[in-house]
Amino acid sequence: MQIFKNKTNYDFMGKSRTFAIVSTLAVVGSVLVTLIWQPRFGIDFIGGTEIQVEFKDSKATVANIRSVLKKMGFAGADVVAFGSSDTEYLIRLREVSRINDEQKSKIKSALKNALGDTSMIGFEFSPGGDKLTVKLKSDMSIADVETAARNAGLDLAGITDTVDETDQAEEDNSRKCESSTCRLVVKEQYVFEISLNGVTEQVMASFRAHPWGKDAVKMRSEWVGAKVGEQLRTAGISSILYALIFIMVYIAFRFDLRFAPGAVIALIHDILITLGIFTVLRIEVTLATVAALLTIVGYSLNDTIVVFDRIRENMAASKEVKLLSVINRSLNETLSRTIMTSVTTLLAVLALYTIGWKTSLRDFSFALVIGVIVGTYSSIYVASPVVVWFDRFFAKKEKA
Amino acid sequence: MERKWLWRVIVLVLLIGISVTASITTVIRAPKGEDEQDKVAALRDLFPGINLGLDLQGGLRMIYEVGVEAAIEDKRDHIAESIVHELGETAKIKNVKAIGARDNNYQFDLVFPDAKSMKSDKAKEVLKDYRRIAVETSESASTVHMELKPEIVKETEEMSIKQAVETISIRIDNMGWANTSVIPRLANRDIIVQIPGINEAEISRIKRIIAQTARLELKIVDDKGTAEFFKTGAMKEKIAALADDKDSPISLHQEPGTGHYYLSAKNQLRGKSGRQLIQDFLEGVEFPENREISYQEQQGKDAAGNPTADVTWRTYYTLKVAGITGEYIDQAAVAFSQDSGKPYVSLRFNQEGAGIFAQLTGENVKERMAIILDGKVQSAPVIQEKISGGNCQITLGRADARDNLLNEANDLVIVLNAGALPAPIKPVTESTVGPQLGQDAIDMGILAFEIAIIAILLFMLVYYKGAGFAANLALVCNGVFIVAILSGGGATLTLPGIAGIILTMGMAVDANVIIYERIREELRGGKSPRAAVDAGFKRAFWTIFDAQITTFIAGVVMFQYGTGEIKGFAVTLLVGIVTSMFSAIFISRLVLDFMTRHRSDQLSI
Repeated sequence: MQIFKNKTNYDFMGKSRTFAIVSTLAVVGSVLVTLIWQPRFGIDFIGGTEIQVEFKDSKATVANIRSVLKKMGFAGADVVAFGSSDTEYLIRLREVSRINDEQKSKIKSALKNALGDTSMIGFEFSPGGDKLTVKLKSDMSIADVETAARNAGLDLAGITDTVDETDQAEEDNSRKCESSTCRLVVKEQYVFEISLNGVTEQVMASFRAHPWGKDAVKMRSEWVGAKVGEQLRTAGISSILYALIFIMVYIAFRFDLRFAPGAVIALIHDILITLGIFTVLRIEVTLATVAALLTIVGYSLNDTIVVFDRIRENMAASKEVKLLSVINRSLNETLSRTIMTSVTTLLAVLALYTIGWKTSLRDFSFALVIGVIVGTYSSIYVASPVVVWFDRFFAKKEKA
Repeated sequence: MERKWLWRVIVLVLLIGISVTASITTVIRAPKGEDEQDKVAALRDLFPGINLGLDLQGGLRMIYEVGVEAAIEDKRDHIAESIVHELGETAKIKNVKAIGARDNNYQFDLVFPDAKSMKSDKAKEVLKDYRRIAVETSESASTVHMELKPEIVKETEEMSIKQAVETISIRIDNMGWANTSVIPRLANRDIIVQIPGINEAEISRIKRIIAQTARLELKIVDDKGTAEFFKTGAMKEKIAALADDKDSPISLHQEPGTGHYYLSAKNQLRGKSGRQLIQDFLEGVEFPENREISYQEQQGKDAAGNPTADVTWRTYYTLKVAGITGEYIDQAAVAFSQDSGKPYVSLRFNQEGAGIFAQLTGENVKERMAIILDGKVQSAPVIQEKISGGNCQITLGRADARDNLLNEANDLVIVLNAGALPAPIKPVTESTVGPQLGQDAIDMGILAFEIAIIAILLFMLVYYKGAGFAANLALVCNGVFIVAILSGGGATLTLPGIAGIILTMGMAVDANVIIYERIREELRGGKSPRAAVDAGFKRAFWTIFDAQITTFIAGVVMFQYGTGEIKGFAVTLLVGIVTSMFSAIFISRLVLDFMTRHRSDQLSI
């Protein structure tokens, strides 16, 4: 079987002007949309909490879950049906801790009053809000500290397991753990580490307090602090930049310097349009999206290079001077290959998308679907025309 | 020509044979029957098998930030104090005060009683001795402003992260978890902790234990008591039963030379740690007053004494009450023996600790002393004589090569200082995956893989007929090769990693498509099938190479920058690119050559 029985002779380059307008509009549109609406970044880039919960009761509706979260004080909580069962949801919160700065200072002054104003020399919440470290100048019992913490409005983690430290504690007074607090003595300071319930535990407890949520099962949870989010964001952006630079160097080295801009402009075109579509559809941009973008870069370039390779070969073989017609011929010669590879890759990516759309791979495989389509388009209608234009531009310059 | 043909077939058969063997450890997860178990276990030494990532088997992943600022401040205060001490001892200048800067953690002031003493040669001499660590920046009246050298700050920073890693690893091991990983990222000043298979109820407990401060204990080993302990009561019965039970993971040993008894057990693969196994074995044994079993983790050795991948645990019969604890340690450091140049660990106790230590060693000459960190024995040297003055040396006799000794000494210093100098850590990211979700993901991955590969196989067969069959054969072999390489390298498979394999399946046929389209062109140009195949492969090679290398570059960048799950995707993508190029060029060539060899006048393509 063959898609094209005979040698094709489509005039790709003749229509390049029309498609250049389409591509430019798409890219400009994508950039505008991305800048104005902002992509929806996932928690791994901006910090936040994600909990996947399966309820066993059909009364666990999005509305019910939302109202629980609203009562807990989570603004802008996001609840979507997700996963393999009908009552499974993915909950996204912007917060990693329920305690805001104002509450922190309230708790601090309440604890100061209870524990003795002059005694308290240290007070620090962990970034996840699940550990409070209090340093005191004079000693206190764990029970007293815990009572003071509860009175100040803290939600102490119910750890009943005191580990196998009980017998040690009698002989050695330097560290002691009871219920949810550990007391240690460091350099004549008395340090109390109080374990608190984190956001995830608190949300689960709130669900379980309702009849429809009492059998709720936590399938997955994740929280990312703002600082880590920032690191990941930088790493994501620099990885795409590095990939582009390395690839440009490789093409300039293996082919010809005038091919490199065409390939790179095609790649940027693919990345920006994918990002634009993600922004319009309000799909989360996560680390996995960055991985998908890098794969698209590789894939789209794969297509482009096969075309370039043929252009190079044809230019060497024939003495034809007109770059335009060489490119047109090369595009025609590689057309069935371009379509074939896109079809097999699409088959794989679509299988992934249709089967995996209930898992965390949904957005990832969706990005790949877009990438394969846009990448195939760009290697024909973006990369090659740009090579021609650059060629003309330099030719004019030389003449001048 | 005929010979070359034979070689190619032999190479292919060998490769497939090796790959299928390498995949066994991954495909057979739970071997049935003893015979099969032994065979799979033997294979594991060569091909460790694919590990499942946290997203596929469930578990906890946390990132802890290490409070390096506090560690640097501690270091600064410590150095300032020791300069003051030195000024008092050597230069006889008393009453110098050390004041740490308030707005940073690396500068401090030395306040002398008067300008004269500050300017004295003796004082200068002392400060000169410290220039390797801290330098004078300026002077005013009777005060010298000092700061730590940047390399010392950096070293302290890295040291505190390594200490934290060591401490966390020991803690998790002590809780009996196997296959855990604790990875420091020095640049980010944080540590990634991964514990597979942990459930929701255990998470808050493990989080609290990880965040605690380290604890060092020195306990006297009661070697002489082992004879009685192993031969009385419940222990006697258990030991007797052990002799009859050939399959028990526990084994009884005698110390060479002295004949003292101890037990050991190997860590089970994907199961209990050796320590847990021994603890289970000792269930119900009553210990005499003030006696207990302490555990040491050891690297396995084969008959020739070379280290193997196994980890074993052994017991020490020790006193229950610690002779001295880490609270009395002033500082531990690596030092080198004057005559032999061999590294050892020098330990300095504070004044109170020195007295306790002198008494302890004096009363137990020729006994062994177990150095225990968080309940895990690090080493158990013999006390040679009473040690007074608060300084103690821990010589390391086991490793022979100097580098090994140095590594061991460095490790011990990390461990000892971990007890003495805790660097506070705090979690900055946490993710947990339930076991059910992981299983769902695996099922999904396998189904998507099956659908994708069947669709591609059918498509290629319909479109390229006979040559399509060759490509399909290459594709199936490619799948086997990918699994084999991942399995042989003991790689970690994540959900995105499965996606990577599926995507590679789709892209793998690209090489074949390039070749086949080329062959068709050559055929149209009037070449004979055999010549067309030759030309097609020859001319397509560099195109394939150039095209694949770009995805390869993207994969390498992804691997460099990605976190756990993305890394898994990058790995399968990279492996897939290499194997698919090989399969397309080598295997389908072989089949096409075979097809055109006998019927050189026609080719089904």
